[in-house]
Amino acid sequence: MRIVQILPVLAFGDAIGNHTLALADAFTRNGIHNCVYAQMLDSRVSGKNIYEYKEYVRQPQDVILYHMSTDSLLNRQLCLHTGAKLMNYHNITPAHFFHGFHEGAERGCQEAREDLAYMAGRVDGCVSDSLYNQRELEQLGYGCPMTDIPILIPFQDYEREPDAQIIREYGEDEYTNILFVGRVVPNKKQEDLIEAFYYYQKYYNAKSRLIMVGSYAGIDRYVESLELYADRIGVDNVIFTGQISFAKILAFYKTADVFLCMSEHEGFCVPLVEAMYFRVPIIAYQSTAVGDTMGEGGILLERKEPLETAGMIDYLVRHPQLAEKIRCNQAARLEQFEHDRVEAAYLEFVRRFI
Amino acid sequence: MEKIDVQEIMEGIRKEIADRGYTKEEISYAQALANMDAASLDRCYNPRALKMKYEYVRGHYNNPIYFELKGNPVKVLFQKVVRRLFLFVIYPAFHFQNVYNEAVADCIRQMKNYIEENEQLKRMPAKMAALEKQVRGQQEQIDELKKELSRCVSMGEASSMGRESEHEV
Repeated sequence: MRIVQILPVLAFGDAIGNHTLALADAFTRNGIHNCVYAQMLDSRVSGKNIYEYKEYVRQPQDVILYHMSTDSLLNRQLCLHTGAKLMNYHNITPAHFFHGFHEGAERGCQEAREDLAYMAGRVDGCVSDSLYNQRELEQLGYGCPMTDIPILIPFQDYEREPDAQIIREYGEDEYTNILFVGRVVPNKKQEDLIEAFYYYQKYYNAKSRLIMVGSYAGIDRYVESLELYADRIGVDNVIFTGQISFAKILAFYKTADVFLCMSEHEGFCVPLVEAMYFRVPIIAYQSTAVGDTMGEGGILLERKEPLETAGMIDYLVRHPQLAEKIRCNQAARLEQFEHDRVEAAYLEFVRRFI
Repeated sequence: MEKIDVQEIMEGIRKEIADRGYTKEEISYAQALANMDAASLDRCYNPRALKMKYEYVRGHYNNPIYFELKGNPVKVLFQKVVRRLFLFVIYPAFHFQNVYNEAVADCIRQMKNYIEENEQLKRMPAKMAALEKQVRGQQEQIDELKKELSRCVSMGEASSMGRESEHEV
């Protein structure tokens, strides 16, 4: 008997990919025989017991843990497995966000949602990253045992050395750095970050930067529209880093004064937890699973008003005592994502099926 | 955890915005790109996109004919036999495609270089204007210094002539 983690794409540096590898490590350390199969395997991902899905030879005693987040033929193929099937639901971006930017992604998200509905009643257990995700499954009629457990984050990785050049370039001047980390995709609403930053730079603090760390994820048209937008409204110091090394990501967190998130769809949002870890005060728009992840930590905005958001950024920067209170609240919230606690919750859930 | 009254803070911020007369402009994403449809966006030159696509083309133009076959050993053996049998058709097709891809990649490189040279040339007039302004400024300084020098020289001559006259007397 073994746990077989299956996923459509195991990408390097991706939240779901990192979570999958962390789970594999947890299972191994706890004496649970396991392996990982991915339909598309990033060549930069390496490790023992990680294979391409075409090499998978099904065994009846396999307990499949399937990571559901995108469209794939695997979504429905999984249902043919006669053994125990578990789903780790990471949420699927609503298709309408990609309209006008990427027809393939729009169609893919729509099909993935149809697959998700199809799979109701065909899996034996579900674990969701957030209560928001779990409620979606309940609305689709999933009646199997379900629980919500956060993404498993290997925090020890964040102790690595940050990039010294980034620290020098962005951390040693009087500029205020506003950071967002996440793929440049329409649902994350980077245009709303730019708009809020425009007002912040104009009315409150000209010596400021908006740094958006994240890969372009193949939605080139959206990235190009953002660059054009920033150019048209005349805002300076808007930086798109693209995909960068882990050391550089660490450095950007360490030089950030505020973490700003205007995303309109998240299944969990690992960067919020990372910002908490690096003690960067968070201002985020309350949507989907953002509130679930943040809890009482950080500042949640009920409505999206760019001028007011700019005012809030300024207020936070000018009131160090408030920033410190937020950091304390975030540190308390961070305990819920503590590695051993999350790992124990996963093991307890999975053991019910092995 | 200490409760933070976000609503209270936000009310203060709204009041401050009103008192200072800060106003919201018509600069939303939708407004700024109102006339920009997908076709228009496709016509805009984007140096970052060109660089990214070129890097991809440069790294992927060559299709390897032989790649590792994995999976069920019987299936792999069958695939290997079929591949060997059809090599006389596959090889020329791959070779032709790879040569074509290399030519296209080289063509893109030349175009990229041309664009970059032109971008540098476009910046030349502004650089030249700045240098000309600097040179004019320095010329004016030189002229000032010459005038000052002439004045000093004349004053020096006048005072030495005066001393000679006193001596004669």
